[in-house]
Amino acid sequence: MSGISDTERMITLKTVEGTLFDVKSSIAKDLKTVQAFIDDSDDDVTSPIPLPNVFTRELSRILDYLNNHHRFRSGIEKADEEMARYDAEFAKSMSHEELKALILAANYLNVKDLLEFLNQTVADVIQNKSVEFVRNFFGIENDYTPEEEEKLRNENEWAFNGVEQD
Amino acid sequence: MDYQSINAGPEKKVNWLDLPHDLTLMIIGKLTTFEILISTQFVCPKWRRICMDPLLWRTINMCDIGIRNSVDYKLEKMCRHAIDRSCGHLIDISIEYFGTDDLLKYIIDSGCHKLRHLRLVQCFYGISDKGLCEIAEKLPLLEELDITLCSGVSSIALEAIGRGCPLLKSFKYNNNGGDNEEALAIAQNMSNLHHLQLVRNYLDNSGLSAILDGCPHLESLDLRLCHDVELEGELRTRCDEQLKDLRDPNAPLDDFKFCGLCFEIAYDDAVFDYLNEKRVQEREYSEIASDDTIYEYQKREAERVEKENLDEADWEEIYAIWESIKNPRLWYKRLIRGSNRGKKNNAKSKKKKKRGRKEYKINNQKRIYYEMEDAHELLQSSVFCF
Repeated sequence: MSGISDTERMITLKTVEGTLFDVKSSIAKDLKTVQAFIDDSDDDVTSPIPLPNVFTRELSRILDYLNNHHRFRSGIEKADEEMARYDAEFAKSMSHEELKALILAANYLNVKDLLEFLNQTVADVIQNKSVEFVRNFFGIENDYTPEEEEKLRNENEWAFNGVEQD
Repeated sequence: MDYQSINAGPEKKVNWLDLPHDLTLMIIGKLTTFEILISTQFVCPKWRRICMDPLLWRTINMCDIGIRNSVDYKLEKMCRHAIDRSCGHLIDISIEYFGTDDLLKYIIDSGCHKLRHLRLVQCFYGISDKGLCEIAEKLPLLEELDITLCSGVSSIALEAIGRGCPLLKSFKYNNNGGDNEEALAIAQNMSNLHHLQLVRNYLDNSGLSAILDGCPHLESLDLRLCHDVELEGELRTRCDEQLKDLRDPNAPLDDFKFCGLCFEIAYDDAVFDYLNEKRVQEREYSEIASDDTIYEYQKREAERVEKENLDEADWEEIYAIWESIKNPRLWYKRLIRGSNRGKKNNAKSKKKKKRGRKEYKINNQKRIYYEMEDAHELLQSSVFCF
């Protein structure tokens, strides 16, 4: 590779809408799909890398998240609390639609930590909630027929009926 | 992937069904086993198919479900179902309350030989040495084992596990009543251990020395509440040198839940209280829910009260005794002569007028023994104050 140290190199990413983002290569390492592209190409990557599946809104959010986390990790020890607070705000700031789009983008770009965090956020929302709530949240239609549903409930009869059980 | 939905306005509901299979799997995988079995799999057919994926069942966690749910749901049946769904790919299972030897055998019989992490908590006497010995040799890949509050597990099982699981790196044996025997079993059979937790055990310094000798790779040792161990002098130095992380018997217990002496009793009490609560609730609901008039309700109440009461014959007898108690002379007479039914025995009882025990049958079922002299004294005393 070239003589320039890794931290100074900037990678350019191009989204679907054509917006260009300059990213430090240390941050780009977390975007594993991009990193694989860089590793695979023989020469230094100078031209912008096209990301045909990623929109500007998602990429800017992802980069925002990664920048902040790098800052927290390289900073003083107390950053754990700040990081948790940032994560909570980050999760709250998005609508369902944005959350879903971000999950898809993070999956495409293979940003492992962010993907874990987003999946956990969604799981936390639906944990201990009723089936109806989950359907509502995910916009899922109940396409079970009544017979199928009855059969399913019978096969998975977990609750005790009544109080007097040994 | 449907990008139209990304640019859609906020009124349109986002449909997550078109999320790729492995992403939905990741999200569902973050829910607890209990949650998946109770509600997630009923959401829609597509999610049910995802919930049948063996990858989702490599980790089964049936801990922290709560006492109420452990009473309301057939947890063992659910656990067996979860084990079935893993199709032999089970690598991590945690069981609280309902663990039995049969369940352990079921894990083995279902072909789950790749198990790496086994946790058995608060199974009290459900898990025994026999059960663990039977499965020990069938789990060669076991790396982490946690046995807490399972009083039926002793050094016999630990020997078998040590021999059968050579890769065992982390072992927790808490609050099972273990002592030097168990310490020796660990020392002699689990030489690859890196982490050992022995909260509330009764081993002493010789047991500890044996462990330090027998487990040369030991990095962390938790001896909280092991009050028979005296960590001082040479032993202390040795521990500090050999171990990276040592918790001595008096270290704080903030991150350890299972400290109580009578944890089993606490569990039984909690279950009992909850069942009572439910019975009361059910009775109240059944009374409210019915459409009976007040008359019917009163009739039912009267019937219920009657059933709980004694027979009429019993009541007669009791009234008779009560009458005689009120009149001391009658009472004394009764003592000597016996009840109406015992009149035949009067001749006999006259002979036994002096001190002695008399047996009187009332209603063929109740026997009352009287010390004649004592009864007289009782009557004279302030016990019977009318």
